[in-house]
Amino acid sequence: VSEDGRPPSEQLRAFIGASLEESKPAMQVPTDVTLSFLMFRHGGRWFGVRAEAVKLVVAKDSITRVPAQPPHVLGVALIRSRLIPVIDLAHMTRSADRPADDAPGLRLVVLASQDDEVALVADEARGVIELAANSIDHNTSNKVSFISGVVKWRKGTASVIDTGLLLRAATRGEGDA
Amino acid sequence: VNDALGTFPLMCFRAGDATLGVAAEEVIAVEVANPAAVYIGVLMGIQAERSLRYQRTIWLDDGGAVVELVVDSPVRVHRIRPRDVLPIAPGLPLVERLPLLGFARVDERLALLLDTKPLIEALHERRRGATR
Repeated sequence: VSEDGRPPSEQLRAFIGASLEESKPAMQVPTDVTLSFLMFRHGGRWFGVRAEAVKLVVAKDSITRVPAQPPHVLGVALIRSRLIPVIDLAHMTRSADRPADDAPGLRLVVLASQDDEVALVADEARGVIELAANSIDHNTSNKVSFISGVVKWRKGTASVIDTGLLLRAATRGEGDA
Repeated sequence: VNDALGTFPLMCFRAGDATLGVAAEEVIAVEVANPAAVYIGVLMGIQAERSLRYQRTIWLDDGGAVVELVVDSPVRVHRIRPRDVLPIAPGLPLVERLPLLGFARVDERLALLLDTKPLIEALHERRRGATR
């Protein structure tokens, strides 16, 4: 037993753990890798989603409210003969900054992951934009589970959405993930 | 009940801004609103301003008996075609709590197609709760 009271096996376990952590190579993001994003504005904020997850962007038509839904579900929209849940991104990001209902030129950005689809309301969309993978800052203090990072965009920043996590939170009824 | 044209008669009505529909054959009668009957929005979780002036009572078949529900006008029969019918959107959360069979396009709107059995069960459950 050592001076700090821990048995040797525990000390060895701690030593091994610390050694492995120290020898672990720092995660290097190749500087030449670029990722394709669709950038869209939701109220006054910009968001980015991987272009591969974007099924389509269409002009916003009517949204039919569905009873007994969690507050982050605005309703369903009929898009190309399919019903797609429309999600209130502002609610899911715990923000009051959302597009005005009567704002001109509103879009629906339809995201898909595996079997699920959701649509987000956007004031405008820009894409497809190529961004260097290492330009995404993943070390943000954002507490929203599906915001995986922040990237410089125009004169400010855009939050990068992890589509899989967003759909999981939205379709399980976890509106404020 | 498909007719010769392959359409299905749907009794449509409103609850607030939602358009709802049930199989027309399950509706026995439509009358002026009975203020003592339960408003359908209560069973569906729909908040709506109520005005008996713009409401009707529908009588639904409950296995030989009859139950009454108050709905918002207009109440009318639409004949929907197979291509009007839409499945419940995958990814719509908590939808299993609703007596919902699917959706249909009715007069440029989306109508929620209701399953009357769980709807009537919800009505009975509410009455049982009220008498406890």
